[in-house]
Amino acid sequence: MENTTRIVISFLYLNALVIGYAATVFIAEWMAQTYGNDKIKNRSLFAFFTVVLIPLIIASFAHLYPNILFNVLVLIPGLIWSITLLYKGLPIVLQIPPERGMLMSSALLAWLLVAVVSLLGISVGLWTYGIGPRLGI
Amino acid sequence: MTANISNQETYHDEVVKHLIQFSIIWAVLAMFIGVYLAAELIWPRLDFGQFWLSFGRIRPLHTNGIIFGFGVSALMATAFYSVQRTSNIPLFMPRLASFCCFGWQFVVFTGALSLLAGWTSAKEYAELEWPFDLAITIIWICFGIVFFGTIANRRIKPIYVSNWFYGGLIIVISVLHIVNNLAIPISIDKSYSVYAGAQDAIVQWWYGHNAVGFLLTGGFLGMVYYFLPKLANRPIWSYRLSVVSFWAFTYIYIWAGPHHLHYSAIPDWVQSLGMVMSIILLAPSWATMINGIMTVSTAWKKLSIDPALKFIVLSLAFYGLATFEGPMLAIRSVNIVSHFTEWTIGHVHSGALGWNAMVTYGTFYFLVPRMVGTDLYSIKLANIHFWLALAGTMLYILSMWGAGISQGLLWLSIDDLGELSYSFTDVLTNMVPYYSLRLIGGLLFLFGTILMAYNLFKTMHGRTVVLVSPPEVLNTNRETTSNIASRLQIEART
Repeated sequence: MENTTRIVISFLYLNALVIGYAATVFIAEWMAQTYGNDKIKNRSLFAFFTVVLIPLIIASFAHLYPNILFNVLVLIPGLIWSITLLYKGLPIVLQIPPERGMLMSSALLAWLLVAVVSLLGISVGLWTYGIGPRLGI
Repeated sequence: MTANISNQETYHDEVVKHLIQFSIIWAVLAMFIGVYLAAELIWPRLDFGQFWLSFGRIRPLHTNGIIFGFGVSALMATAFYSVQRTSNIPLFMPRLASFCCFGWQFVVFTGALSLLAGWTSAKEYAELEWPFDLAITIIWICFGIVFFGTIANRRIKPIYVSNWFYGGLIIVISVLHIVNNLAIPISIDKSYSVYAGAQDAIVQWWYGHNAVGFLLTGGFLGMVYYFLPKLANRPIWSYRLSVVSFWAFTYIYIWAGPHHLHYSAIPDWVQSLGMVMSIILLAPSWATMINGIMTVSTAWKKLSIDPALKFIVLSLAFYGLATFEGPMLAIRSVNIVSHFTEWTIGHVHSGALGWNAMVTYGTFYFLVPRMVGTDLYSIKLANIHFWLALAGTMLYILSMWGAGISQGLLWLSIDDLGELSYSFTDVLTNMVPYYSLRLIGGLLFLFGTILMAYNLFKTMHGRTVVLVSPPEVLNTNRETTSNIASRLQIEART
C-alpha cells in the first residue's frame, strides 16, 4: 500500500471515530428520555463519553508498535476499564438509579457493537471495490 | 404458587425440572469441549495423537452438544412449562413428554460417543449418522404430539405468541431434519446423502441456516415472549408487532440459506436471492428486539433484585448485534473477505453466547427458584456470573473480529507479481494472539456457567417441584390475548 493511501485511510478512520463518538452522545441523549432523565444536556454527555473513552484512547497508542500480541495485551484492559466507566458512570451522570443505568448501558453497548461491526463491514466493502489494500479479488 | 386451585389436576413440571438439569449439564460439558478446542488451535499437540481427541472429531461434539444437548433441552423445558400455562391445562400425554426428555438425552449422549468414534455424515450441524437421525425424528414427532396436543386441548381460545414460535420450531425443524438427512445407508455407521454436488450443498444450507433460524432464533424468541413479560411484570409492549414479526420472520428466513454458499458452484441468482432475503430479515429481527426492550423499559424496580432480567436484557442487546451482523455478512462484497475466516465464528458466538446462552441463563434463574418454591441460593454468585458472561462474550467477539479481518486480508493479499503474499502457515502463526484471547473469553464464560450450575443445583437440592394447578377461568371462549397477558402478570407475582 502506498503512503498516501495509508494517510487517506487513517484520516477517514479518524473521521469515522469522531462521527461515532458524536453519534453516541446524541443517541445517549435520546435514550435518556426513556430511562428517566429528559433534562440532561448534551454538553454533559460529551464530557461523560470523553471520560469513558480516555482509557481506550490511551491504550490505542499501543498501535504505534504494530505487534498484535502487544496490542491485545494493552487494549483489552483499556476496553474493560472503559466499559466499567460506562456502566458505573452513566447512572451518576444521568442521576438515575443504578439499575436503570445498567439497562441503558446495555442498550448503548448494543449500539456501540453495531456501530463497530458496521465500520468493519463498510471497510471490507470498500476494499472489495478497490479502495484500500490491494487484494486478489 | 397454587393460586386459584379449581380442581385436583396440576401442571406436569417434573419433566421441566429434569430437562433444565440436563440442559445445564450439557452446557458445562459442551462449553468445556469448546474451550479445549480453542486451546487445541493454539497448541495442536493437545490431541495427544489420539483420533478421538482430534479437532475434526470434537468440533462437531461441541456444536452438537450445545445445539442439541443444551439448546434443545432448554427449549423443550420452556416449551413444556409455558404451553401449560398459556393453554391453562396440564401437558397432553405427560408420559410421552418424559419419553421425549430421557429419550432425547440418550440420543444426544450416544450420538456424542458416535462422533468421537468417527461416525459422521459430514454435513455441518447434521453430522449424526442415520440411526441417530431416525431416533431424533421419532422423538421430535413425540415432542410435537405433546406440544400440539396440549394446545388442541387448551381452555383459552387465543394461542399466545410464544406458542407460535415454539410451534414453528417443531414443524420447521422436523421438515428440515427429515429432508436434509435423506440418505442411503450402507452399514450401521455410514450412509450417503440422496443429493449430490451443488444440490446437496443447497439442501444442506437450507437446513443449516434454518436450524439457526427456527431453533436458535425462533425457539428462543418463544422463550423471550413468555418469560420477558413475566419478569418485567407487564404485558408485551406490542402484541400486534410480535405476531407480524412472527409471520415476517417465518416467510423470510426460509430463503436466506444460500448466503452460506456465496461464490460457490450454485447459480448466481440463488446467491443473490439468499443475500436479499438475508438483508430483509433485519426488519422482523429488530422489530422483536425493539418489542423486548420496550417491554422492560419501565421495569426498573425488578432490576435491582432480579439477575434473571439483567441476563435477558443483555441477551437482547447481543441479539440486536447478531441479527445486524448476519445480514451484513450475507452481502456478497463483504462475504468475499469474511467467508471461511474467524469472523464467522465470532458472529456465531455473538448469537450463541450473547443471545442463546444468556436468554437461557436468565430464564433458568427465573424458573428454578419458582419451580421449587424457594429463593435463589445466591444472588451474589448470579451477579458475578453476569459480569463473567459479559466479559467472556465481549472478548470472544472482539478477538474473532480481529482474527477474521486479519485472516481475510492476509489470504487475499497479493504482491507486485500477482502472487499470494502469505502462505497458509504465515496466516496461522498470525492468529495465535487472537486465539489466546478467545481462549480467555471462553474460559471466563465457562467459569460463569459452572457458577450458575452450582447456584441452581444448590437451589434445587433436597426440594421437590411445587405443584401448581391451572387457575379457574370463567368464559373461556372469551378470554382475549390481553387477558392472557394480564393473567400472566398476576401469576408472575404469586
